[in-house]
Amino acid sequence: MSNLVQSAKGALLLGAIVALIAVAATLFAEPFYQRIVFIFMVNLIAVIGLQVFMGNAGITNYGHIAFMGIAAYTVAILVTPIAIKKTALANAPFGLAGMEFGIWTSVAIALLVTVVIAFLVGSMLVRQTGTPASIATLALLVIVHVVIMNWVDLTRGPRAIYGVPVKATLGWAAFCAIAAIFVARLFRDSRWGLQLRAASENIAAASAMGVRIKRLRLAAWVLSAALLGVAGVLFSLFVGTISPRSFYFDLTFLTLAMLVVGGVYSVSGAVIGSVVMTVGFEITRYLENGPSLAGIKLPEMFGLTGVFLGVTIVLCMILRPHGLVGGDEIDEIWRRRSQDRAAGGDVS
Amino acid sequence: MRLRDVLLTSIAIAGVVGSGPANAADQLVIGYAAAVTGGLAPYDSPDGVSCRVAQINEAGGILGKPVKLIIRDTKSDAVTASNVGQDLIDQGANVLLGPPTDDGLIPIAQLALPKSIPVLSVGATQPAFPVASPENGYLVPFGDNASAAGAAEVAYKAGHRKAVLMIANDVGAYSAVTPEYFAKAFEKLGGKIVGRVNYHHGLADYNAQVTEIKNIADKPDMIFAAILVPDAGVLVRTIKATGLDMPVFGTDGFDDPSFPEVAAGGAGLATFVTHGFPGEGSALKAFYDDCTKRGFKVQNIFFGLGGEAVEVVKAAVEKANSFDSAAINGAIKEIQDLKGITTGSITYKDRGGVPLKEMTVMQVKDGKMTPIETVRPSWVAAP
Repeated sequence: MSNLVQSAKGALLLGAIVALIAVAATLFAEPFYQRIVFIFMVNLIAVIGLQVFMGNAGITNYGHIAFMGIAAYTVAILVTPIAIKKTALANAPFGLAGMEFGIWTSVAIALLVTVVIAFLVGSMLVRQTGTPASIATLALLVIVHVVIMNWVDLTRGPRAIYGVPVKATLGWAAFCAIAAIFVARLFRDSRWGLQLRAASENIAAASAMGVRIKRLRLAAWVLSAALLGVAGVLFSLFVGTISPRSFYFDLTFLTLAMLVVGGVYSVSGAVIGSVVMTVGFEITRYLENGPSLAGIKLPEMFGLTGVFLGVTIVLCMILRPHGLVGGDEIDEIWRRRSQDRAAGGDVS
Repeated sequence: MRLRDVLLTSIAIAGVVGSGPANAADQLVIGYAAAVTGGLAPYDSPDGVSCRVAQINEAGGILGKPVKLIIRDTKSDAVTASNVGQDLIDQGANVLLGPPTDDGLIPIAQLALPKSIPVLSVGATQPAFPVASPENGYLVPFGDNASAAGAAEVAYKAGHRKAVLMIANDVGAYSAVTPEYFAKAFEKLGGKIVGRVNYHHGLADYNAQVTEIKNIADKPDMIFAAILVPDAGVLVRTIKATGLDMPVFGTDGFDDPSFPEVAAGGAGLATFVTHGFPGEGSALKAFYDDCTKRGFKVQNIFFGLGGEAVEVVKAAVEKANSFDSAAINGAIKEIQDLKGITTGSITYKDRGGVPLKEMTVMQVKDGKMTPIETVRPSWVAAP
């Protein structure tokens, strides 16, 4: 029990960082920077969702963005006003062209659909380990993408769905991000999270101790998908226009990079990776437009952000292969350090 | 410790960048959310826009004031596109130019709507954008529905009555929807669609498709394909090699300097409708030559369309005699028979944001792209 209190405290610390960013953005930032912060929150939720499965089950996941896409498309198709559907989705199956749902109903259905699909896919996926499991997740991403591209009546295929009411606010995004931190942190430090992490390190020993690996993996998978569903819903309701390209390799690798740079094995890693990468992106984006710094006019260097992404990952792999944070949560590191210092004090 | 630093840095950046100058409407500020990098980069042209702005500023600007151009990279990503769109609006742009796909354009137009800022796409040919943003969304190129209608008229005039459509779903709406626009226009003229054949871009071998066409019971006398290079070349080469010898009609996807070489012996089978051709004495050729002299690199027809986007904005500002966004937006809707760079005539009046343009019909003769005629379709399918 004290374990969970500790992890709630850790989540509180990470949540406070997120809350501070949101408050600062609301008070001081221009609309453009508020957008950046909103998208940061969405990416953060996605990265935390990714961490829940990847960090605990120890299986590299390339399919997480598929769930974001499913949720984003479901909510968009349900909530778009009938007037717009008449031109955009006139042939939608299941009578959807003539239906329009309220915002909360749509969100609830979207998350439900995501979780059900995650459960079905997960039941098959959890039987595999290591590389085959990772390839299966990659296959999931491609399958979902191909379905969205080709089920033209339902999704408009490669064309964008537009006219989704822009209802999401920064406050909601921050709230969801903080909630995601708590959920992920409590799961990680719960008995199930601990058992799952033990199994990812030594599957034979864990199953000999009676750990029900498949069931726990499925739980982590579905929880991860639900968090990604939240990210997808926020995305859809913030941008107002979605297309299949938004939920494919670009976002998959961006979120993976954020997690890997921060550290796969901890929620702190997910949060810090997202913050570092977003801040780095915005600084390089500012520089690539050729601003004047201290009286010196810099040249335009479009493409600098791509270089930043590559260099950061390479440096991180060389210098800190386990990510900036490493295997433990920051509050754990903090506590250990102060204990060490206290112990050191005793000796002297 | 590190966390606090990161946090302070992010707040500091927000502060520094947030203090940029607000622009009063005493000068035209064009904000361009361009796909400078990424997969869509070939269909956007920061260079073409920059060159035309440089030309205009050298000649004294618009309404006596120099034009300010701010370019931001969308990285070919829809969300980044809408973010930099907001950035450009915050920086006081009175007119926005946008990226080549509707998923980036529609959100930008939505953000620009409260200030009535017009948004023009330099490269998009999908009429879906102005349909979704009727108040302030415009294409600079023709719509795919118009080019398909142009191709239908040319094909019908050449005596073709039975067409087979090539359909692909893998490159956005272009290759899937354009053939249907063609079908509507062709049937309206009195032609008939006798079959639809599926393909994917990137096929090294089109024999399966050609066999399928050969086996259609109601024999077609032409093929329509909104296919991209290099596949366009491979397709006609295969048709020639199998002895089918059936003409292929298409739109601007064929328009790439590599086409004649890839198509080899089959190049002569293709007829396609495109934006324009830099022939001797044309405005496009003059624009290319002057820009090359200024050190810009002309990559393809989108360079010309970039210049044309600035041309449309210039005409609207001069007509409105104001730098006010709403006035410019209103003036674009009134443009009629404007002489462009790629084309002799552009009309926005009563077109719902998709301009009616004179288009160029091209064929390959003696291994060289050759303009045959110009076409302005009399009937265009609704988007």
